[in-house]
Amino acid sequence: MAVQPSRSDRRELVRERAFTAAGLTAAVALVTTIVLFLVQLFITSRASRAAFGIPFLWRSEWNPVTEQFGALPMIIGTLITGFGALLISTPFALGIAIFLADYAGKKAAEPVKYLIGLLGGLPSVIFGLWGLFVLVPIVSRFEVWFGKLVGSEALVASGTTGVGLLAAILLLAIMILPFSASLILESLLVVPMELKEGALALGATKWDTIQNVELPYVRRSMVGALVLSLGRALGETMAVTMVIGNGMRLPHSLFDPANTLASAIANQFLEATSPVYIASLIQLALILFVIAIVINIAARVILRRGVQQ
Amino acid sequence: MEEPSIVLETQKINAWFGKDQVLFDVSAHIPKNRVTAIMGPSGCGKTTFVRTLNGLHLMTPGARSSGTVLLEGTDTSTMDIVDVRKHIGMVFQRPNPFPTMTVYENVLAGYRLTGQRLAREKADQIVETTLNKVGLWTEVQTKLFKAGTSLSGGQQQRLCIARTIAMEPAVVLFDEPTSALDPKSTAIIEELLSDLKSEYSILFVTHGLQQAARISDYVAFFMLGELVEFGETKRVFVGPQDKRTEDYLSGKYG
Amino acid sequence: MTARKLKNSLMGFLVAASAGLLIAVLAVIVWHIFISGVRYLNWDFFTKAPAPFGESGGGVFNAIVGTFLITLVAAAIGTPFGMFAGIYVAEHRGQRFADIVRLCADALQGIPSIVIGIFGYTFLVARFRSYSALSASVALAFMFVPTTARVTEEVLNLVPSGLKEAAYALGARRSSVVWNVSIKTAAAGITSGLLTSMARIAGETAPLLFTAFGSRYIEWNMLRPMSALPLQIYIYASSPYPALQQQAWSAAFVLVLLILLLQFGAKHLIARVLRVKA
Ligand SMILES: Nc1ncnc2c1ncn2[C@@H]1O[C@H](COP(=O)(O)OP(=O)(O)OP(=O)(O)O)[C@@H](O)[C@H]1O
Ligand SMILES: [Mg+2]
Repeated sequence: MAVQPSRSDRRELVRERAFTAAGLTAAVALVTTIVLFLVQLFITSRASRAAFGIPFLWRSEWNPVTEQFGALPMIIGTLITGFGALLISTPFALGIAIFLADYAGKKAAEPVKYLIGLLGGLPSVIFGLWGLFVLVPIVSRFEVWFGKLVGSEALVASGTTGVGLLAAILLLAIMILPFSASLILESLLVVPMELKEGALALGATKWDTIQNVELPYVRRSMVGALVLSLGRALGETMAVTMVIGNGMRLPHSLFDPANTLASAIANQFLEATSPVYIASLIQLALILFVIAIVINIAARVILRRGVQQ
Repeated sequence: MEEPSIVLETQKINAWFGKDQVLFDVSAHIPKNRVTAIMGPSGCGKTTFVRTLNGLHLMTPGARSSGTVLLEGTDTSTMDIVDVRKHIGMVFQRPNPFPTMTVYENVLAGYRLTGQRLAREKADQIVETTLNKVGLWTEVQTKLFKAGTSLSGGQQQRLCIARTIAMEPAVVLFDEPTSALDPKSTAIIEELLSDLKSEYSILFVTHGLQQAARISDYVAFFMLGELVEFGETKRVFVGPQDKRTEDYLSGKYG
Repeated sequence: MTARKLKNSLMGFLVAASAGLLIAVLAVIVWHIFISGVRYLNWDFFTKAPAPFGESGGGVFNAIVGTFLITLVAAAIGTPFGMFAGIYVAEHRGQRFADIVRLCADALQGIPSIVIGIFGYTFLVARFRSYSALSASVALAFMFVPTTARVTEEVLNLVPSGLKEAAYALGARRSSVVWNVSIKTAAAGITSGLLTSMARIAGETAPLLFTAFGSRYIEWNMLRPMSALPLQIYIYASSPYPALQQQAWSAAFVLVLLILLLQFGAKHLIARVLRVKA
């Protein structure tokens, strides 16, 4: 019963090999990409490390004129905006997710989910545009009002532009809201119905059930969701760039103009002419890249454990 | 009835899912142009056994098997698995015509999926004769270019049989082909199996004692992964030699 | 009413309120884009390049062309890589390397867009000493590949295993099963995933800043600098001239419309997939 390979058999075999090779190539390429990014950014930022070494990470001076560069202001700016946005948006994200999972019927949940998708799908630059022309003037008025309230002449005088950390935090909070809300919702939806019904049957109110059964059950995946959202916020570029004010110094208050790692690059890269300046900006990109990869992988690991549990 | 020749011989087949062994030294001689029923309680390894014959078993992650399968005397492990499957067709428990293909395309799916191109007349002819063999031609003649999934459950299962025998296999494996169907469709398919044995050798997994008695020439009884009895249906049903077979036949197991 | 019941109602109100707040914020943003965007729209805006400096009028046709070209070329480059990587992961489920590939795809999705832009600059622009639309497409392809890979994998996992087994039982090889059965069965889902990914990259600005760079002219040559809607919005919004700022709003309106169109297409294709499965 040994069959002679016919022509169509041979064609099939060739196709099979090509297919296997293509799949493997693409898979390897995807993994290599991460290494390629790392190597490429590392090599092209050499001049900065040659000039400043590791202390680049905590030097607080960023001065293109004297060509002294340190990442601290940007790192601080990134952390403040990222965590600030997370702090503001998380309660709302949680509320929205709980509303969709436990309160809204199918009829109400579907359109709200659709709107969440819509808000999450808007490009960053659109948020930036809206932030710059709508949000920033409001923040500016708030600053003046606040300055008068606490009696700070300096604030009334300096903060009137409205651009700065506060505007960036608020805008970022809006931007990551749909993202974290849908991630949290996903984890809430896996809570088994019997668990909830069991609690309700014992006479617990709806909120008791949510607080004592549902939320503890998804604690892990919720942490994963928040870490992912934080990663989003830390790397967000255009919207922040447009409202944060490109401040080069360490910010002293929430009303100060500042920079994040991302916004510093976006704001300054095209103006940078000297090799050290360019390399230092690429160095910022490298730091941001490493932070983003670490956060993302950590979040995935947390999420996977959460599912297994 | 004279002794039929052997189309398929298994020698000491063992099979595992991960660390769990589910088949133990199964050796059997499957006669040519006969219907052989495979019976036994749920979970005894019937499905696993037929899936080792065409190599589908090994596609489950973590699955292993050992032993020899001889197809008309040829050790199948020396053949390309793709050729083995062209000679040993399989029909599944649930009707599963390809949803992206029409009735016509479903009949020819085997040719299409193995890259064989057919001339138009040849294709038309295969479709017509094959659908005739499964008794579908008059029913679906006007629906040839509708989706295969638009047919009724029983018709879909016959379409799946057609798609399998269109490849002219030597052996056709049926894994409980009627368990998802209504009694009327079941009757049609049972009749069909008896008709098909003049051209194909049929291996047929079933839960129903009645069904096995009605249509099979030979039966193989499995229990806990072992082949405990094999023989002519009439003989086994009347006078089982193994105590376990007897118990099963008298309804002591599920 | 006990305290517990009071708390229950209060919390019910609060979660509903946060959903309401999200809708309100979205409504405000969309309303602004619509009002400010429509006001300055006219025929010239869609058909003309920017007016010479100092003159009024002109449009963003150059950016519309650029967005289409850059996005399509990025998708063309990224689709084969993304789909094959997705197929690889789906076909090797449970294997260690497949898990690593999936993890890398997830991690790549989290790379900030500005980092992709810088990478595009150092990798292509600096090397070939010229800004070009093609380098922008390549940069965007790095965003397109991981999303496409994940979507492909997810959709392929939805293909009933019975169908694949039936194909194997007929003697088909793996490539044939994947192409003729899995991909065809999942075609609508994959297409809708591709459209969603395209909607994503069509709105990206940061990867274009240092690659496509922007251009005031209607440009069809992928090897030259080119404008794109998001880029144009950023440049106009940052300019001190009210006329240009107004054009930024109109361009934003056009961009949002384009993205909604792509997402709408994707959603309806998904609906079709679900109908087929049911
Ligand atoms: N994918 C799998 N992974 C692990 N174990 C499995 C798998 N499939 C089947 N088994 C186990 O292998 C044994 C044999 O299963 P098999 O499906 O062959 O039985 P069966 O006789 O066909 O049963 P049924 O009559 O219910 O169809 C059972 O104990 C079952 O639990
Ligand atoms: Mg079975």
